[in-house]
Amino acid sequence: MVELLTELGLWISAFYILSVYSYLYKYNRFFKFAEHTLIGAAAGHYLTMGFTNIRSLGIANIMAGKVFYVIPFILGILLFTRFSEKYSWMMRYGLAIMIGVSIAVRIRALVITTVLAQITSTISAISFADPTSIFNSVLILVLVITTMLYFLFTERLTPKEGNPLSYLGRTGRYGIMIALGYYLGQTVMTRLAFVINRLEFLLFEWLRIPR
Amino acid sequence: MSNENQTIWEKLSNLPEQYIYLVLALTLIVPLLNPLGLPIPISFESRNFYNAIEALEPGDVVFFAFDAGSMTWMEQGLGAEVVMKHILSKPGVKIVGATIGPEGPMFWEQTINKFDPSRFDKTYGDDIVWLGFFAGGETSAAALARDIKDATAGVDYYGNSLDGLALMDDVNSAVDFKMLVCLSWGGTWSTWMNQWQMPYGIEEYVIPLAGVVAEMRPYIQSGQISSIINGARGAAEYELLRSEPGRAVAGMDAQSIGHIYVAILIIVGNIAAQLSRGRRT
Repeated sequence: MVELLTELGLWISAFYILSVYSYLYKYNRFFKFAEHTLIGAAAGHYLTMGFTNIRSLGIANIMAGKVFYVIPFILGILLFTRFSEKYSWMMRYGLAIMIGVSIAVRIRALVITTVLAQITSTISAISFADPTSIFNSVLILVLVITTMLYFLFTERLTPKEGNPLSYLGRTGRYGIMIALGYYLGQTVMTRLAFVINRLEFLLFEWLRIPR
Repeated sequence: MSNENQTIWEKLSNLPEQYIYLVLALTLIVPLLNPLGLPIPISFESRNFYNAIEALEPGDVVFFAFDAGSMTWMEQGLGAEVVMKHILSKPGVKIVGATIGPEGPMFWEQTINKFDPSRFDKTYGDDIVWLGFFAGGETSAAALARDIKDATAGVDYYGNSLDGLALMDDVNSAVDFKMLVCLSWGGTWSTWMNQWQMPYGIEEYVIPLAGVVAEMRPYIQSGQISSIINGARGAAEYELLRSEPGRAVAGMDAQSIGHIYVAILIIVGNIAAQLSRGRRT
């Protein structure tokens, strides 16, 4: 019985993989079916996990005597008033507290992690110990400064013919283009990994071609 | 323009995309069936990650943020499995897991069951605890960092009281862990960095998708991220470091050939576009 179910699972997986990749040929009803199944399954899974969280973290705490946990419940229920024209204004209270708390929690870290620590590390990365370090340091300094200048959208720094200062912005733009190339290369690696993994499944697990 | 008047470059740029996908499939399938054995140099990042896990001592507790997703598991799984197996194989090293991704529990159980912790003399409650999924992203990560028992209402994912699990006697906040290993689904590495690494100074090791590594670079250079496993490539390097070539190594030839193919497409596409533009003007 277990073997039969395993085999059935393999065939269902293979069917969905081929249905999804059939989109590369053209949009068709197999792809549409797979797409709808994924959306349905994901929505069901997310709903279940959300409900489990409410039960294990919310209701459990209230039952344990932490009465103030009722407040998030009320605020959560208020979010659903958006479906009523008359009472939709009440939704704003729940939303406002959610956004407020979220921003407060994040902002204490963001200033340090994304601004101060980055400035510090950029400065401390400068080293003149050997020719490679000198080259890297100059590259970092030039590209950091010119990239920052590229985002000053003033007339003088925007790449434009006949404006000597525009070369600063232009250098920054080249730096951004190199970074985007790196992004693309990394993204291709992720996408290819997805495809290779599914091809391995089809070839070695479903079709059972010996490795 | 009639078909006869088109140059080879114009014909190439008008090639139906189905052919491009077909050739891509072939470039990936052939090396999978006939591995070329291309060399895989080990990067310093994979080596640093490996060394950090290797340096763990009996009694050390690792917090594993298992933010897996079904749409990203194909790449994430390679790194997650090799690191999980490495941690499990370290005698006396313990793991507490949690996730801010709703699909994390599904993949946590799949990964743990695959390696059967009892083979490594590890038991649930004494060496491994799974706290489960927490909605709320950054807010939940912050709550877990401050006080696990409070954030979880005192129970694990299966409803067991944390007071009854021996492992949880020793750990209750971010400062009690030796390191944070984050399996990152999209950008969750920054969530844990903001709420665990920055306020508590815990070392963060990340298993990201290769596609997000570019935006992580500044944080690796600054030391906020201690090291990473760079997608499938990083997982392959890690497998080699463990002397256990597996799924990631097997896919590396196809990765390399696939990248060469994409590079050729970019070069040919650009030449064709430039020549076509010149001919039109």
